[in-house]
Amino acid sequence: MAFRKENSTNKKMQLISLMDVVFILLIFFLVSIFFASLPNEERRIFIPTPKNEPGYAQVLIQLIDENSFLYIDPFVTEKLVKEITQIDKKTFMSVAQRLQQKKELIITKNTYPIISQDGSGNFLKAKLMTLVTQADAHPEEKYFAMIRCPDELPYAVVIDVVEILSRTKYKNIQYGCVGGTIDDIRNSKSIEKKMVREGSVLRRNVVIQF
Amino acid sequence: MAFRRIEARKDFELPTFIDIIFLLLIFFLLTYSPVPPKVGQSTLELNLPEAAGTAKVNQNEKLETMMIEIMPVNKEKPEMGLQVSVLLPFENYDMEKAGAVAYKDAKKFAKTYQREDVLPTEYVTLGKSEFMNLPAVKLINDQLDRYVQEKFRIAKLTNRIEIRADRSVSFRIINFIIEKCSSYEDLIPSLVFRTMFRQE
Repeated sequence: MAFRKENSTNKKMQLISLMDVVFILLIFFLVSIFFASLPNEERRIFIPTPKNEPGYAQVLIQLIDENSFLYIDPFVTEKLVKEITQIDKKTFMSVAQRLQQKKELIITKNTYPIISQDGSGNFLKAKLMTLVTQADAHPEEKYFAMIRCPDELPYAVVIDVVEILSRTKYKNIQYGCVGGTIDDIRNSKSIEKKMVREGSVLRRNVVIQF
Repeated sequence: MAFRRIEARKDFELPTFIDIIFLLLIFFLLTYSPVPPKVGQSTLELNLPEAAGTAKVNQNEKLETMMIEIMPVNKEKPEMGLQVSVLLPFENYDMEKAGAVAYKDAKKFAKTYQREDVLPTEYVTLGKSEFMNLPAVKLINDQLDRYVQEKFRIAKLTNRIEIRADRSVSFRIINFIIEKCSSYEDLIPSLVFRTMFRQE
């Protein structure tokens, strides 16, 4: 049986389809080039030199690695009061063991991913913006945020945090940067809330004794 | 005599148009540099490229105070380490002239008076004493001591040191500078970081 010859007239290139693809590619590159070429600027960020005195802060931000951070404010122990009471009831444990458990609880419950897992955006930025909004709503209050960063992280992570904190209208968030790791906090003597009277204001502070 | 009307060709020149489109496409294909997504970054979020550390510095900007510049020796080869330059607002301590020097001259003088050194990449993992013995760290240490001794004899709010560093520089060297400046207490009340940010 003779095979049927394939009709050679249908071998034309589909110009319209090709044009469609080419146009889509062109639009993609045009748009992506626009985003890539958004201008960057060099800004000046002022950071006070830390004082060599026992430090306490209203907020402690410990950068753990490029993906997570620890955020402790004075309300941490209030939020975890039930769990902390449960640990205190464990009388079969030594005081040191209970303290270690409390620290672990505080660290575990307050460690967040920088980029939230549900894809809703930058969690660190959102936390900082909440603090900025709070500071803007209470211009009479003064806040102090301590930013701790491990040696190996790019310093730009700290600068980005400072940049957000410096957006306050009334400049009532002060900040300081020091080197340190999450292990320093894990091995600290205690993490506690302390009420400090500053003039007529009673201020809640987070105190970590290293 | 009636003029003959010349009809202009109204056909759409498709091959010419395709030529232009292809040229544009090739141009964008060649100039495009994709940005790899970061670990843990949301796939829904537009992955904007990071701001590069190499800003276009105004070469004629007059320096107001000491500037410690930390930049990669070669951006393409991070293993080559970091170039540390100590830029002063004058030529040299014994050659102070009226008026501050421009950034480009300060860079030149830093080279002439050997206020430059390379910080090896392993500085992050070194022990404290080894880190302190690195020539680049010694350079920063000595230059800060001398500058404070000569220029910041009285505590003033305006006393400050500028740091200009690439965004990829590890916090260790920056923390060393912060701690060093902190040791002078009120003589250096603040530091100024010149860092790249995306314009919002």
